[in-house]
Amino acid sequence: MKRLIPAVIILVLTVSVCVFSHIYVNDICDQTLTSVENYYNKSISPHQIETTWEEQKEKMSLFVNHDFLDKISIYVGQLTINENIDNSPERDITYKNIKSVLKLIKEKQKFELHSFY
Amino acid sequence: MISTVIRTIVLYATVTIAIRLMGKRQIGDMQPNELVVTLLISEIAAIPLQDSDQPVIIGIAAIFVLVFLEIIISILTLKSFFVRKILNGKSVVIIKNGIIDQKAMRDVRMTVVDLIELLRSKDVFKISDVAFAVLEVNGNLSVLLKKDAQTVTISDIELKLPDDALPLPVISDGKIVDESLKALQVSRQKLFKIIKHKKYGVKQIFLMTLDRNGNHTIIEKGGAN
Repeated sequence: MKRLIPAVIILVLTVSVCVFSHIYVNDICDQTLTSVENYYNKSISPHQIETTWEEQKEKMSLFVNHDFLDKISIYVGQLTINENIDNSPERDITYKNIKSVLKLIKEKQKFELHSFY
Repeated sequence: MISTVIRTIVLYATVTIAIRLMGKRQIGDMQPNELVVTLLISEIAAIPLQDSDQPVIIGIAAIFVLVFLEIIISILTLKSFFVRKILNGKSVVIIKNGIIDQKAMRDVRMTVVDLIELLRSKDVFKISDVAFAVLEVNGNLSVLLKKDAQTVTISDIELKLPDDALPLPVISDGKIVDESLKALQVSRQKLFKIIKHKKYGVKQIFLMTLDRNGNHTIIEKGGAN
């Protein structure tokens, strides 16, 4: 029985980390999505997204597979390259790519039946 | 590279804590569920080590959930005979009064060669000498020999011997172990007296053991006894 108390404490900590990561990752995904949409609507510059994303990426890397984060970093980098080209197809593709990766990260956090198989 | 080193240290600490929480057991003594959890922990710990894209925290969370489940299961098996039977199975009597229970052997999928091998590992060479042989849930064979095949014990021949006393190390590598002296209720002065009588100095002794009955063994540094 003496092992039960530390085990329960560790389980509570683990569950807390899981809940926190779920809320935190969703929140950051939403923030990034909003800033990318703002960029698409030309209210912010891609450099602003890049700076914000670099900060958020570090924190997100604690909970999310780094592959996804690296992909977003590449796409955000592409946004800065295509900064001066208005309405280029690459810009639309990059925007959609970022959205889809963020959506995928959010889906991975969800507790859904298809995650079991 | 440095991240791999840090990840390894973190996961090593996690696995050590996890195994410590699960309790000490040799692999051969593990119950089936304990073995599964141990194998799973080693597998899970290896994933973030091999793939640096995987967050370490996911591996740690999985390991601790497994440990928690293992502890819960071990408590349930301790409390409930039914759970114990379901999860661990039950011991099977393979030999009764020198006769092999062939049905039991088929049930546990054990061959005669396996049985003979296990008996030999218990220093039993004649099946007819066995009163009972029980196959335990961890795969070990417990053997009770017939009375006429058992070795004679001290109580059989009614010998009067002094009580057993646990020898404790009182000097280790030239240093006095005060904890052992306290446990034996022996003063340093008494210890020095014994050493002096044997014409040794504390620094010259590699190991000295002493028991409650005053029996001692001295191993000199750089020599034998």
